[in-house]
Amino acid sequence: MEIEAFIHALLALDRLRAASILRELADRFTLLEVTEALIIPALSQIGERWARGDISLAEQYMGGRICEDALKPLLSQQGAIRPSQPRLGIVALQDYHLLGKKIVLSCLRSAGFAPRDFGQGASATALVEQVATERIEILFISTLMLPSALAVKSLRSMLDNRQLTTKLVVGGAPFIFDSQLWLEVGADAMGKSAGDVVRILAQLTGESANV
Amino acid sequence: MFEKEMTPSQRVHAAVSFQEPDRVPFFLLLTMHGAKELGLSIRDYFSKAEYVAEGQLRLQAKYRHDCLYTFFYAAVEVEAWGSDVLYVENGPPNAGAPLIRQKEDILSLSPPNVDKAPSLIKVLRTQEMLKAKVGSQVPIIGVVISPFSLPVMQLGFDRYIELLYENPDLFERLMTINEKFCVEWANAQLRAGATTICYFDPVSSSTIIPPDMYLRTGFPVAQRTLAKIKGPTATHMASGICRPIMDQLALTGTKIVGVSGAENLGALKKSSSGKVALMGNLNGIEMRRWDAKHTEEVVRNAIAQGGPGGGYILSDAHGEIPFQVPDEVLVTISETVHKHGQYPLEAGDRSGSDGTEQR
Repeated sequence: MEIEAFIHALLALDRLRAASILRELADRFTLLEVTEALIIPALSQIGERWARGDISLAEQYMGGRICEDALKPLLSQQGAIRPSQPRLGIVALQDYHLLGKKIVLSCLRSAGFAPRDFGQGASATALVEQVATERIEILFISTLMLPSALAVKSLRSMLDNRQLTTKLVVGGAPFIFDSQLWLEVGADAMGKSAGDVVRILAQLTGESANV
Repeated sequence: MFEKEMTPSQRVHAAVSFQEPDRVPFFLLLTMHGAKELGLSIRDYFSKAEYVAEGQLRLQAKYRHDCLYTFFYAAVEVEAWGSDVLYVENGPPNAGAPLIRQKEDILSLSPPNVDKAPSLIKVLRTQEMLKAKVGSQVPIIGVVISPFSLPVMQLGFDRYIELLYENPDLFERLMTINEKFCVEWANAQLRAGATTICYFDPVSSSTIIPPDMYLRTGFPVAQRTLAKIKGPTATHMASGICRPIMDQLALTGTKIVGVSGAENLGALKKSSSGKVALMGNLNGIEMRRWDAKHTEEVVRNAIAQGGPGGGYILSDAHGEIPFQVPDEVLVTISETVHKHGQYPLEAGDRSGSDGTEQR
């Protein structure tokens, strides 16, 4: 499939070309096949390029948004890509001003997942209730500031006290700057870029590489 | 060897002029640690200029570093614009939900009056008190968030990136408003006693936007703004990558660039020498758990990479050392700079490779 052409279209903000590539493939393959063979590898490669410093966060964000937008009409025609999937949640813990959560959310949706969006600025205490109510199995947590990253430890502790086994996947600047921090706060995995999310999901659920 | 110890101001001035002073200058960019010194909560500490002035003086005496840092917290500016500020016990006060709800609100946006905003008045009062205390002996660092980076707090990060790509007219309008505010805010701080303005501009970094976009956006904004600030400026990328735009940064008129811990300080020094001095690039997040041996190694390596020939101020990479960094680490940083940062640098500290993974 046309991974390079698709990546080029996303990074060049060429909405028409990105939509055209998806439409042509969706005529010949199921949406799940298109997702696994094109969208997930493309978004993973874009994430890797950001992690290497080859592209900027703004390019990654806009590329993810264009991908999600291009997929929407196909989803409305063909329905959910993954009728069966783990119960996922996503949140920006304590912070209001970060881009990472938006990029991860875009990647997850483009890969066919439907995470429950717990918004931004959430406290660990409020989040525990939401996680319990929604029976979230895997929670993606985006952070910008060190206190937010350290708050994951409190969240883990509160979840444990409630005997909730929700797996925590963390990401954001503090975890990139200190590679040991995710272990210190009791997370189950850490993503260096949004492109890592599908691989991490596969690891946590024991499913195949593309879940 | 210098027979007489320089004052911090003399030391910094020589280094920024690409001369070797008596030793490598170092800035411990401490904001919240003053609260610990005074036995106050972070919220109480930032409630009065007197507390922050006293905190800064105590920290400078304790660690014998080369500046007084009048940065309260990044949200102090949007607080003046009407934004909520959220306090936590163990970190900097953070900006609440973005104050611009709709992009079109930019058309009716007007900046606050610097002389009437309580959050800004506290900063100015702090600078006045510090100036009265230290005169011209110690640099007093004032801070502004660049007009180009402030919209992250005004609009939210995602909507600002979309504005940059999709609404050039509204973007230009917002820059006109923000530039006016930034210049007034910077010059008010210089009048109050700040000797240098630190221009925080992380959105311009190549971590956040591509270099070609910087040339069209953050670069002309910085050129226009810095030209109107009536004092020396230092541009800080707050951990963002700057090597791809280093030549342009030098053309903005800034004297110093604060660089990321993910970049090779030695390579940056070579490419920027004679154009802009560098400041950085210790990893403040990791610093929480450094032991004495590692701290000394990291500091000596930074001195070896950045120190030769002047043009270097040792500091953290982000422009704000986390509250969780223990005093022992800060003491070791200070002792190491005082011992191994004396010019002429020791042979082992004149050059070297750090071997860490850097861009």
